[in-house]
Amino acid sequence: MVKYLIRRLLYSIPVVIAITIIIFALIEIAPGDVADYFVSGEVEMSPEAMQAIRDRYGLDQPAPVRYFNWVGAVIQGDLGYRYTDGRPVAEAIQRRLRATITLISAALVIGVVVGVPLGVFIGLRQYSAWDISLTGFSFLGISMPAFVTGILALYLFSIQLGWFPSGGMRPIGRGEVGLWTSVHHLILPSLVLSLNYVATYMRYMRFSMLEVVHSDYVRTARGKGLADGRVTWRHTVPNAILPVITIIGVSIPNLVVGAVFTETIFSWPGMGTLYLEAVRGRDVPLLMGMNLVIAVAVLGANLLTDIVYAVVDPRIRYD
Amino acid sequence: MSRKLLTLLMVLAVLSTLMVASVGAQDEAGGGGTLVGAFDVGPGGAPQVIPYFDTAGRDWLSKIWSPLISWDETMSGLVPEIAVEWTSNDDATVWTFELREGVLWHDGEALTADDVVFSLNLALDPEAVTSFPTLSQLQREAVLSVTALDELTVEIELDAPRPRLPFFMIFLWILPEHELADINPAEYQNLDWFFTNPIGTGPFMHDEFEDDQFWALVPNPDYFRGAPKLDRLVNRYFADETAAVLALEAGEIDFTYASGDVALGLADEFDLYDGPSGVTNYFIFNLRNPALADVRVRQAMLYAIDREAISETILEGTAEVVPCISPFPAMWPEEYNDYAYDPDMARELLAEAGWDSSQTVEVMTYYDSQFHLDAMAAQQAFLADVGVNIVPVSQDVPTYNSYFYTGEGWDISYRGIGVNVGNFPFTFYVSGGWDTVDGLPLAGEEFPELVELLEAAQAEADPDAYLGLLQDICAFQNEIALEGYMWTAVRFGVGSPDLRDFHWFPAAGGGPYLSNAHLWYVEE
Amino acid sequence: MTNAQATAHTNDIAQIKPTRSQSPTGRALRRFARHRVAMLAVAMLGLIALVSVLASVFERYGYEEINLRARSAPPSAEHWFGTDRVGRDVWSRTLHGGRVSLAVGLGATAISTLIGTLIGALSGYYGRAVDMVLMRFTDVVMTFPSIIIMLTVAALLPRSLLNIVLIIGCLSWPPVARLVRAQFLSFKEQDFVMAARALGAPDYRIILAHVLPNVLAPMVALVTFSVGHAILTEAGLSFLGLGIPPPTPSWGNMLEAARNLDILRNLPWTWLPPAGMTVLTVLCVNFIGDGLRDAIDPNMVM
Repeated sequence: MVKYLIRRLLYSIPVVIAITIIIFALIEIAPGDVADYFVSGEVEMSPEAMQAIRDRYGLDQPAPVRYFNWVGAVIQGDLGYRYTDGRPVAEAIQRRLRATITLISAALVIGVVVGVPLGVFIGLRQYSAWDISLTGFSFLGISMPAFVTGILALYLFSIQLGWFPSGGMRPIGRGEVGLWTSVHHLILPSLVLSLNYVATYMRYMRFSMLEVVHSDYVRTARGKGLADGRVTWRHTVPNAILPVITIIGVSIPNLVVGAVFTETIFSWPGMGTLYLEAVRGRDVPLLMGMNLVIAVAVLGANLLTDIVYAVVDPRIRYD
Repeated sequence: MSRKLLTLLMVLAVLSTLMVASVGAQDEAGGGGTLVGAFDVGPGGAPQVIPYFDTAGRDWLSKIWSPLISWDETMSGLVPEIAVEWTSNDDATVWTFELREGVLWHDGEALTADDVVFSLNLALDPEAVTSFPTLSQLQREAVLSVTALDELTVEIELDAPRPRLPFFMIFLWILPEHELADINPAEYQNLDWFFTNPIGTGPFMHDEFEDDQFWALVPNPDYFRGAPKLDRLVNRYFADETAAVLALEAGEIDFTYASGDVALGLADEFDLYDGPSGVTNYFIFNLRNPALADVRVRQAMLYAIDREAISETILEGTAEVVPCISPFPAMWPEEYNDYAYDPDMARELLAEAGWDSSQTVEVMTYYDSQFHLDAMAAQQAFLADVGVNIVPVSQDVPTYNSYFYTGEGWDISYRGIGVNVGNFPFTFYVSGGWDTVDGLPLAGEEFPELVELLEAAQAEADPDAYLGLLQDICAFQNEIALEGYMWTAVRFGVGSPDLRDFHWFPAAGGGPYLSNAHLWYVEE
Repeated sequence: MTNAQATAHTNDIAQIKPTRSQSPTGRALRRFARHRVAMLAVAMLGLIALVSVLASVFERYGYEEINLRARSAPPSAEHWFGTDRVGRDVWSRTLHGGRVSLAVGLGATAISTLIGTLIGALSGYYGRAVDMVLMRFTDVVMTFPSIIIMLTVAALLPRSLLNIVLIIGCLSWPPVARLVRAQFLSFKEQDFVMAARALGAPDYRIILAHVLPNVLAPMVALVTFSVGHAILTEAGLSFLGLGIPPPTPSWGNMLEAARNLDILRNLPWTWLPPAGMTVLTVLCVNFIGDGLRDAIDPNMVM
């Protein structure tokens, strides 16, 4: 197992490097740079000022030079400063990461806590009324794009009914800021985001339950005369949940990547919107920093999922 | 004992009354409540900018720092800020600025001419500031020297006559030399000082800042125009306008910018603050394309598009048709061609010019707001009606700018430009203004008559004669339909009805203009 | 029984013609047909596709036709879905938007299936070094959240229908590749393949004629789900302003307008139809995919 882990880690390094090179190349190829971003029709800049920006950031240097400069700085732990506002990249990522983790983990928790038990429930009652209606609902849940759900939710619950705030993480400048108000702001966006997770986990759990319920060892357990409840909770569910763990694991990277649509609609300042800003501003240090963090996080999450899977399922052996 | 005690008690009583009275007097600064606004939403805003890196967002910056000179409340003239008087020598190569007496920094230090000298040198330092928009037109080489003649007088010597130098000084934020003298200019942009402990001379002082969330200020009791009435002024950042407007409606904030269609819908419950945007929306034709070099084709396009109808309907009456690049009527000549909607005339001219109606022309733009997309859809329909097929192409800002200024890669572009008396886009119409591939002006052709007028205007010191020359330029542009001038829009700010003595103006880049923030207060 | 009786019995049996095809495809299709919801979804999707393709027949106004006098009109007899802020007929735009969205869905899926099959087949069949390299490459593409790469590339390339199809297609192939590879890995050791090799059949023939047909079955469901995924991705990119550029309507960029508060609140008829159509289409696609998967899986009790 340890050998496997070490091999995985070693493999990950060239993957991360490859990703940073690809992203850097993409930005290089892209038309425009941060100097072009600053210019707007309404407030003119002179060509000299634009050239001065390019000089300051070294944008005219050859691409490999700039890439290696960045790598050199990163090795020393310095992610640099954003081109667009001069603030430290690491700070920006940290802040947005905290906001994103709050939002996504809330959605994931709801997804697991609601979706998995429901999947067990309908897995035991195939083709019943519950099964059909909840399965139908889960289909709806995975068919609705996040921004449609978000817009509808915003429209209905915030604009029309006024039950929830229209955006942001907490009230600012006004009234009490406490745990409840923060949670109040979190409810709508996390519910919107969790819809997809609830639907997905419910479906996979159901599917997995059906497979296991018809399997030999479960039938044997029933045949032996064990009570239904015991069979379910001691045999069926533990086996059925294994593939679902992989599915949940696939969602873990989202903790870092964010959910750009939900963040946009609910003004949640997370990683998704930061990424969009970085691309729009051709903000190379920020883009590279974010991609590095995301790559490391994604690879780490995948590794973690595989380990958990191996721990939970004694049949799995890595060598 | 009793007499001494009585005297003592009386003295104490008087003293305490005085103390209470003085404390009470200090409390006159404040008591106006907390005002939360989305000051950096909209085209004039830019969240979290610092002085000299402000291509926009100057409205908020002017709450903390003061420029040397400022626009007045309605962007129609200049008013004193740190400088109270400015004069030049006969050929406008040496300017002298008299500074205001008694201006104090937020930390209590006195402002002197050294601060102004320091700020201008920093602004022009090639190591430090690199995105100084309009002042950068001044160019480092143009300023020969900046000297403090005495405590409150600054002299600037230039390499060539600059009659309108004061208009550049609007963008000169005065920074404290005693705080920043030792910084490394190359690290200026990365200074944390601006967000942790900024010192300015503006009506408000720094209180609290949280990245991506808000910036809160408290009143500066020593502000040179008077102590502010508000207890707290907060600028809250929003990802987009819709979020800000929703917050306004929910009562979470007191003010935001809103685009015309949205603002008009809020007129019943909120107060609208409107003003001319000072931005002209227009088609710029690339005259390198022989079809567009024909004046008849350009005029035909103006006749073909019913600009009045678009202004009335799509832009809901918030726009005014313009005859040339300047959006202000003061800069228009007495008589001009209004190119009133006439599709038959358009077809005639196109036929005369031999326009090939099977070709499609791309119109590049960076606009992505619904307003502009709708307007472009209408333009497309009108032009298609007379046989001109355009295809709007929306791109993001860096992509657009990466090729636009080279003069190639586009035939027509729909864009906006901010123009006012102090800021005319000369560089667009003369060779060498931008680094185009063929060295010609941006649009591809140089008109000697126009260049003559432009050069005369740049050198003209007399304001009336200057305005007259601008009108002549306008007439020239209008006559040959040099560009496809569409309209200039009114822009809106929307505020809570509880605001009193509040002022907001849609200044390009946020101004800076006189908003008199020290007079604002919120009615409970 | 006697010899004569046995012969007669055998002859009788020989007379019984098989009434149903025994091929796996036939069986799967029959099982699919029993899945009522999936059949309903097929019918619905067919209808949507038909109406979209024949949009010009069903539309009542051109989708680009503006009418400044009839702008922002709610649904009426004249304009079934009302008009938008320039007076364009929303019904026509929804129809044409369907064309674009479906085209992107199918086109992107075609590309991703092609690339994925190619890579998976090569990887699974040749194994060892080829497999290592290709799978590491797949890891890189798959590990990285596609939304990130798509956002980056979409913002940097000129916006066009072709580019969107390419972007989505070239980033969605890893699941296909992994599936195809797994199938190849298990099949290539099987008897009939070894026999073909022993007989001297060239590699490509073995792959195409023997292994691939068996691989296709589980892929069908995956490909179907990919179509739904591609449609949603295009809608998302357009929503952010990175997808199909206006004035060409797509369901995604019609939803982009809903980011404007005035349109969101006061003109719901301009964005509810594309939202509803997107959800309905993807829903049908998902039902069909689910039905196909159940039909092909021999263990599923239908």
